[in-house]
Amino acid sequence: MRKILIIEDEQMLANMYRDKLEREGLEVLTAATSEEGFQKAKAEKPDAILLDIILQNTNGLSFLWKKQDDPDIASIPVIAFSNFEDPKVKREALTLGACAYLLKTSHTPKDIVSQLKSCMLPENNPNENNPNN
Amino acid sequence: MPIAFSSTLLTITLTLTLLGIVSRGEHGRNRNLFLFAGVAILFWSFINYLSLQISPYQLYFVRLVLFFAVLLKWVFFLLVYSFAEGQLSLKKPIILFPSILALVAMIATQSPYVFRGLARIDGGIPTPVVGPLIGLFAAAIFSLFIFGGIKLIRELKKAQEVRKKQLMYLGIGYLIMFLLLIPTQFITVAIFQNTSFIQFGPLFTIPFLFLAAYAIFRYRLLDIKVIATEILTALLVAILFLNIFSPENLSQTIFNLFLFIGTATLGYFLVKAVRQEVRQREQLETLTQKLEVANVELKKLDAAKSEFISIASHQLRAPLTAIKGYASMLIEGSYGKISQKAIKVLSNVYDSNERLIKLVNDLLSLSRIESGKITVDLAPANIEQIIESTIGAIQIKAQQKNLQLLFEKPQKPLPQILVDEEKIRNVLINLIDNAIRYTATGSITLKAKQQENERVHIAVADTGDGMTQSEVKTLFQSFSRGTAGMKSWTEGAGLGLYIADQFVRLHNGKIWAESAGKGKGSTFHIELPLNQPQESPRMNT
Repeated sequence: MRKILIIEDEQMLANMYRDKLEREGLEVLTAATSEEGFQKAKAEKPDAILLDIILQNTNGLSFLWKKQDDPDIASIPVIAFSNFEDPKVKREALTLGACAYLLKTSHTPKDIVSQLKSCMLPENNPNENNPNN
Repeated sequence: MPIAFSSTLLTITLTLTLLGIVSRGEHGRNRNLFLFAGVAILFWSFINYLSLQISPYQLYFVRLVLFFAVLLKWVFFLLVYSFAEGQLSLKKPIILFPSILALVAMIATQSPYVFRGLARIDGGIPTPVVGPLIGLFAAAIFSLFIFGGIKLIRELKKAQEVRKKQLMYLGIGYLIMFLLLIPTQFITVAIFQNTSFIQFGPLFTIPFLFLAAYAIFRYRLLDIKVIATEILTALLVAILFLNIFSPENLSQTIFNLFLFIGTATLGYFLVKAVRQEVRQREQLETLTQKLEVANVELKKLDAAKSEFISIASHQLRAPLTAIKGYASMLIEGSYGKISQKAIKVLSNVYDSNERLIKLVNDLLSLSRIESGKITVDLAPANIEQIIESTIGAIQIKAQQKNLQLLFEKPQKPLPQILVDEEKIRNVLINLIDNAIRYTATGSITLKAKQQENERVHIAVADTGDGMTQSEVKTLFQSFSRGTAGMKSWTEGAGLGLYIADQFVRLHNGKIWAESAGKGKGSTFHIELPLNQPQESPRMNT
């Protein structure tokens, strides 16, 4: 079973995405902070990560920086998603290897599952997965 | 004694002119001291003139001259302290000691101990004979000068910028006055018994009065032009006035009189015109300063507003995401099968939520546009693909209203052009969404073609309500909607087209609308350049 790590500090949203992903037959791990997410990513080696950008204390970009520098998990695809719409942050997230940067309100959980699946495919080309939010 | 008369008249004229200028200044202690000093000079000038005329009261006038001489130096001394310290406390020893000395000296001048009497040396002009207390008079004058001077030097060392300049003007005037007064009014009289310079005494205080007036009252207002014009005019008029009394014949007198009247009249209008010009400039300056302050405040408010909208919109999006997510999952059957009725209700929830999401997105875009923070991320893109995917995303909405949403592809494929795909998609969604909203039956047709003027043209035509010409004109303004929209719907805030217009402008493009009239449908047009200029201030390529 493919494993997805959700790093999201809004408990209600984390539960919602967990529900959807589990119904799609995926195993779900959750973390509320960047640090907790990093530890779980190192320990569990998920197949993909759903990463919120605005987190308590730190932001998702710092997670991407750390992940990029860690060879153990550097190759795990990440979908960044946020309600924070800033072109600079988006560009930085994509530069740091995020497969896509999605605006939460523009995508249903179903859209996110489909994005996750396409990111997890080996033939995935990040340039074709840029969001249309 | 014509020189004494001229000198006195000149002093009185200049003093009155300066008093006139200062009396227009702000009320306060400095102004009162200044006015008092001016009045003292007037008295001094007048009595000084009388003291030089041979009469039985000449000695009394000479003593009064000395009285006013000390009084005036004391007022100048107080003026210096008042300006330097911003307040005036007579309890301070540094002010109290010279003040007591000045008071005692003033009283002493009226006694026979400063000037005992008048003596005619070689039958010439009566000259005062000094008494034993002349030293007291000298001590008072010198101590006032020295203490005032020390204060000015100390303040000058501490001061900066405008205040330093004010103190410098004050100091220069102070120094000139004493350099002129002490040798001519004291040393020559007390030591050499020479009174020929006495007649100029009051005149020698004018440099201080002039520079002090300029420094204290008008420096910031920069109307030295008015002061100079007033003084020059007054001088000219005074000279011409004197001229009337020294005629060679009647016709010369009449000529001089007319010359005086003509010059005085012209001078009056000249001063009035200069004063008006300066006042206008001052008003403009004050207005500019107020505007600058208001502008800073407005910028702060604007930044606060943008920040508020940004934070509020971000916070609003979290619950909207949850509503969207859960409603869509319920409709999809993620939580079990539900009835068609429930699906319809949930679809309404979903649609309403989408409207809220759009409103928040529009508010955020508006906030970015108005704060100048919006940029375009240009990348090569295929316009046909953007149109097709946009139609795909919004097709369901058209179908719900049984409207046809079509794309008539160009015969010749369009080249890739540099655009911010998200923004162009946003523009198209806005236009198609509007067309669906205001079309009850029929179709919405999109067309795209390359024009000869190196531009790509996109048209969104509907068979809907149509618009009047006045509605077309205001369509792209913020918070404006056509009246058809007002009647049929209330959901839009009129932001969409304004934002679309701004986004197209950021691409150096053009957006406009056409309608043949009510009930005849509308067509919205977009033109985008095939090539973007190399340098554009708000573009990231």
